[in-house]
Amino acid sequence: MTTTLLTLIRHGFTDWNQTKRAQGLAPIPLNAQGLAQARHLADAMANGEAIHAIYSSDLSRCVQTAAPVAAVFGLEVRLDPAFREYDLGFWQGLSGQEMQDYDPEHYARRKADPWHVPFPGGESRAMLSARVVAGLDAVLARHPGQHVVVVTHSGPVHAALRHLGVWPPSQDGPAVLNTSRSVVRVDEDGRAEAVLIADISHLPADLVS
Amino acid sequence: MMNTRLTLVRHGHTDWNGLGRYQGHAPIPLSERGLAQARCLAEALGQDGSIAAVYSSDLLRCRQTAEPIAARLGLAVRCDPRFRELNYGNWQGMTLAEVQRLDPERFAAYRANPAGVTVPGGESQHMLAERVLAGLRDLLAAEAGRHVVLVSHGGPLREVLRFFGLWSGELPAGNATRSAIEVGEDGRSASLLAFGDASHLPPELRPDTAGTTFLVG
Repeated sequence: MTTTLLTLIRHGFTDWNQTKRAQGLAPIPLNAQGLAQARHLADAMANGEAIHAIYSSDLSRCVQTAAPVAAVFGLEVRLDPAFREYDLGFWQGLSGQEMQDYDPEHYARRKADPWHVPFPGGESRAMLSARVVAGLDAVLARHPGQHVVVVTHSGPVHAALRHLGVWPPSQDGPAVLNTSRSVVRVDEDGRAEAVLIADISHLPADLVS
Repeated sequence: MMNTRLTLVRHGHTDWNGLGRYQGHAPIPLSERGLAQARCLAEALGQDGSIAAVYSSDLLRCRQTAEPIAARLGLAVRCDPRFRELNYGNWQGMTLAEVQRLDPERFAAYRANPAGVTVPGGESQHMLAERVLAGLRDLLAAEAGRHVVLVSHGGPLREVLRFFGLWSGELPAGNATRSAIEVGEDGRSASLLAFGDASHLPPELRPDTAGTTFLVG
């Protein structure tokens, strides 16, 4: 029985995270706090299970989070747009509250059925899940029995955990904080077991965002 | 048949205008300042009995600007998504400085050829012009010989003026200003009667040009 270890990481803190602007596909980089978080993450992972490959969304906040981790293991970060955040369409740059205030009708429709109802001009959960799952399946097929890291965004982390069956699809959450790690063991039949969900124990309290 | 007169209004001020953040198709509402500007526009244009129709981009900031004008005139606003601003795609919500700093290669490519190069995830100026002018053609066909108000955004208003050879590469008309053109019967030529007129606004509501730049003119 070959078991693959999958570590899912959400990128570090950015200025738009701080001001609560939803980023979507905007190329917002890590701020100083985010860069510090990434360094703590890399230090923690250096003391953990060796990594064989590291993948990342090609958005800069993920690439910057992945870089120090990859450097620890002498690996190259493999970029894959399959691991991008939701395309938020015309709601990019708004806070959640603003989305509700400025377009209450679409907001309500999406809340009632996020699987089918897209962000206006953007993606639905079904669309995001399809590409994230395809990306993950390819990664898992390429690295049987190995430890592979995927640096991504909260949308894809949620989609992955639900798809792997380690988080109930009907529930909101979990709260996937910046640089949090979720670790899942996946066997060759695709059965998954969660080892860690959204863990931030690598961060000192003053760096948690 | 007579000439068709168009009063071109740019929507009132929004918070993102103030912050220099590109709005594209985001549903950003008018700020308090913008709402006050809209009231002044309604006051001024509401007295013009020659206005036969009010058209508008369907985005919230334009509808909020158009509705008081139309209400004063006893007209309904005709909304049309073809009059929306350029879709700024992945750059929506960013400032000019952020785009230049954070996406320098794609910004340079766009700046070198804004007509032909698409803003990532968004539109090119050619795509903008195509849809704006399609909307304009239908408007002119429906309202030939009349006086029509069109409430829209900086980019579309530029494309209208550019089509008629009336664009001289300046900053966009300020928020809640009036420009005016008279279009000939052939729909292909027009004369510029006014650009960026803010005389209907009290001094404290007149637009300041700081931060009001096109991403690329």
